[in-house]
Parts: sequence; structure tokens; C-alpha cells
Amino acid sequence: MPNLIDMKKLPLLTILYFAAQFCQAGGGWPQPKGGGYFKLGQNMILASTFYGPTGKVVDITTIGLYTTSLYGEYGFTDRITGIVYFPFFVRSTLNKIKFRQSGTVIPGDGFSSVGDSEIGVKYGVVTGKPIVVSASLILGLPLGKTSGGESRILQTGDGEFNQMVRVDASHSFYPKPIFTSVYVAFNNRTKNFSDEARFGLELGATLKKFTPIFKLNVVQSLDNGGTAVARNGVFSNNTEYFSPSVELNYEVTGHLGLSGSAAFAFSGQNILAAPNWGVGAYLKL
Amino acid sequence: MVGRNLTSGIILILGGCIGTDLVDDPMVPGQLEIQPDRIALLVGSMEEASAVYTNTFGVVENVPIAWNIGPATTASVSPNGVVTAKAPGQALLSAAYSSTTDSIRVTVVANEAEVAFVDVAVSEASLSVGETATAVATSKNINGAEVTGGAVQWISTDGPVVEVDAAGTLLAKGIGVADVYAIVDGVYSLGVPIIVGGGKRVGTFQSANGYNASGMAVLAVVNGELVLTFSDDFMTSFALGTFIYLANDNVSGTTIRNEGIELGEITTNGAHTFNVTQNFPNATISQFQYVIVLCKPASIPFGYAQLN
Repeated sequence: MPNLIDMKKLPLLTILYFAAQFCQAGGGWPQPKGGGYFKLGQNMILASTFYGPTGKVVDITTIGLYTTSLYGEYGFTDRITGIVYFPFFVRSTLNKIKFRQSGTVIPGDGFSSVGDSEIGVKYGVVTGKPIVVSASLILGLPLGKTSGGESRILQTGDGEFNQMVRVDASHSFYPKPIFTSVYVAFNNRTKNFSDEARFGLELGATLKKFTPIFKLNVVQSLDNGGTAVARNGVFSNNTEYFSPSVELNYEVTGHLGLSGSAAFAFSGQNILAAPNWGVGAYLKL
Repeated sequence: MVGRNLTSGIILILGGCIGTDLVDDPMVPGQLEIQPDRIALLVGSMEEASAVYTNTFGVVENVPIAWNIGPATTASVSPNGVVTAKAPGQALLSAAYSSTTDSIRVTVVANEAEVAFVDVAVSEASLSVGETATAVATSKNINGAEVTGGAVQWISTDGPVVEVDAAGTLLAKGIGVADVYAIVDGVYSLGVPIIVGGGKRVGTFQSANGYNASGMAVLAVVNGELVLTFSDDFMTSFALGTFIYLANDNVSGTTIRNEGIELGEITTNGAHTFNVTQNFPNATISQFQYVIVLCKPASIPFGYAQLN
């Protein structure tokens, strides 16, 4: 079954404007001992609209977010899997504004750095059963910058250390090449950011070398943050979204594969209202 | 070509180039302005006037101008705006394009002894109701040399706003704007706008786009300078780059950034003071409708106060 689930991964972006969901590769299945999944990914968001605090879509100066990342899972034992997400190059851009008739130009901006990263461990609670269950602890490391560029609004991180506890349950419909997973998570955020409840499900199938996956991720703020959130928090605190996504994986060889994904928040608050496009190449051990 | 496009695509994805948002300029009323703002000629001489049309996007546009002047016995104007002086007196030169018009006075004199220009200086152009100011008129001949002895007549275009007596003393009577003119030997000066504002304009902040803004804003003339102050209980949402603007739009962040004036960044709630005149000497108390709290980089208004 790992050949079905290894690819189920959507890169994490717990940074300003678009807090994409940490969607672990294995769902309820931990990696086998000595097994692993490593992915070099590139994601892009280009947004000219933003879900404001009330969910209303607001026009904004176009913001671009480009993330180059490494994601890895490695099985230390058959039950314990280590997880790392490292966006080693994050670039945030702000478009310049040009007025058609007068030609007046308001300059744009750009900023690049390492982004907020994550490290975690997954434990196989129930394995070898029709329904497998895992529990994970994921720590968000604020390695990104909260204020960059000449405009100082460009960010590659939210500046807070968060801890997320997550439970995944998965089921394979073998011999049919179909699998499904669900998860619930609690994300404890610091520095007066509101905590979050997260939910998700996914449904995938392996069709020869292709594995299409449909996902649904929901983030609900608990709105329990303080009023004295740092100034960068006005956009990245109390983030909520309802985001379906699709992902297509192609197995080039038994160990190497390519993937592409697209995610969009159909509704939300404090989040960019634009698709998150992703491509990547992965290696399975 | 395919290779170049592929390379460009890879650079775009990996490099994150700064793109361009194309937006329309804010709509403004079209405006026509004759230059110069007054003409004085000796009988028989000529001078060419021009008219500058600024379209509804605030962009200067070359358009056909319809010229007219009257009375025709004093001066004439060609289709190109060349004014010819015919007999002593003062005529009104008008330019028109579409629904926009402008006019200036053309003074025709017979010799250097006659008054050709009248200038007016006022001690204070912004007054509160009940305040007074002094206006002084200076007459000049066609060469700019001062001419003395002529009787000065004063008029205000709006008596209930500004009253002016025979000595040139202005009395602010009601809120509004009135132009004050001096007339010497039948020659009008340019109008001098006198703003009577009651001294200040006040607005209450309202939240916008789901963000928070509350408290009061007061725009006032203090010791001849325009000053904006926020009340002690002023509060707003903050982002990196939260700026205060005076503007006539409270919806579009790009319009506010383009046509408004930026007074400065704020990083804390509570009382703030901005000396508007210091950075914008020509700003007036009646020029803008709104005080805006704007997340400048993202162009999102967090709140606004409409000035009453």
C-alpha cells in the first residue's frame, strides 16, 4: 500500500497570505523501516484578490509567492517516521502598479529568504489493519522573515512557533486501486495567534503509472488569539479556508516520479484568493 | 522561440519576477485652463493664448478649442487663440471644449499711463467664521510699473461667506469659499479665493474591508498650517506598512495612493498629529473628503473618516 500513499503530499506554506495545509505523504500509513519519500517541490501563488477578515474578497496589489522546498519522510522503524519540510528558497513579490492613461508607476517590491519550516514525527497507532491510524506531532519553526523588502510587508514567515497534533486514518480498497484518508488536527499557535482546528480528506487511485488524488482541506480558526498580535498578524492570524485540490502523480520509475497540483480556497478569511500551483519530483526509497 | 519561452517560464516560476498591475487612472472631472491667466495689451497689439485640456483621467490631451471674446469692440480672437487688441477696455476671453470651459480677462489700454493689471494680496486666505483679514490692491501699467491714484472697488462673489468693505477688510461670515476681486479704473484683478472653514473639519473613523478603525479625526488650520490630529481613543488594525492618507476616494487603495496625499506611517493606536502643510504646502482644508487608514503595500483601506 505505500506505493499508493507515498505521493500524497501537498507542500506546506505556513507563511503570510496562504497557509497551505500540511498534508502528510503517508496519511495513516507510516513509512516502513528504512523506507522514505523525498520531494523537491516548487509552488507558486499569484493573487490579486484576498479573502478579508469577514470572508469578503478584497482587491489587492498583486502578490506573488514562490516556494522551492524539500520535503522528506523517513521510516526509523515500521511505526516511527520522521518528517521534515524545508522551504529553502521563498520569494515574495509585490507587483508594481502602472496607470494606463497617465503612465504613472508605483514601484513594486521583492524579497527572498528561507521560509518557515517544519519538523515532525509520525507514529503508527494502528497498522496492518483495514483501517490504519497514525498520530503525528509537527513543530513549525519560524525560520522565515516577518518583514522584508522596501515595503516591509513582504514575508516568508509568520514569526510564531506552532505545534500541531494530528491524527490520520486511511483505508485501502485493495484489490481495487483506490485509497482514502481523513485527518483531524489541532494547531497550537504562539505569540497571540489564534489556534486552529484542521480537517481533511482525500481520495486517490492508482491507474498504471498515474495516481490522481482529490483532496479537501479545511482550516478553522478558534479565534482565541489576543488582540496584541504582531503587526504581521493582521493578515496571517485567524486564517480560515475551505480548499479543494487536485494532484496528479506520474511514476517515472519504481523510485522516481513527478507530480503536479492545484489548490484553491473556495472560501476563507485572511488568505489569498488565488490558486496555489505546484510541481515536483519525488524519490521513494 | 520555444526554448526562449520555456526559459522565461522557468525563470518566472523559480525567480518570481515582479509583475505589473495595469489599472485605470482615477476618474476626475475634465478641466480646461487658459494660459496665461490674464492678458493686457496695447491697442493694436496681439498675444496668443493657449488652452490646456485635462481629460477625465487627469491626463493632458490635445483637443480642438473653440475661442470666443467679447465685447468684440474691445478685442478679437482668431481660431488659434491669437488675441488682437482693438480699443481700450476689458473683454472676456473664453475657451470651450466638449462640456468644459474657461475664461480670462483681457485688458486693452491705450498707453502706459493706464491701469493694465490689478494684483490683490490678502493677509490670510483661510478664515474661521467671525475672523477678519485685510486685502490690499496694487495697480500696474502694461510694463508692470505701479500706477497710483486709482480708486479701488472691492467685491466678493459670495457675500454670505465673505464680506468686504471699501477699505478691503474681509469678514468671514459663513462656511464656504468666496472669491474677492479688486477693480481699479474698470480693470478687474484675478479672484483670490478666501476659504471660511469654521476652523476645522471633523470625522469619525469607520472600519472597512473587515478591518478595524475607530476614533475621531480633526483637520484644522492651526497658526496658518493645516494639521490633522487623531483622538486619544483612535484604534485601527495594523499591518506592516499602515499609512495615513487624505483622499477623495475611500474604496480603491490604488486610487488613494495615486491621487491622495500620504501623511505618514503609524505603528501605534492613540493620538497622532500630522502637519499637512509641512509636506504639502498647497493642501487646503476643503480639498479632501476622507482621512484613510491604508495598508499601503497591499493597497487595502482598513478604515476611513469622512470629514464634515
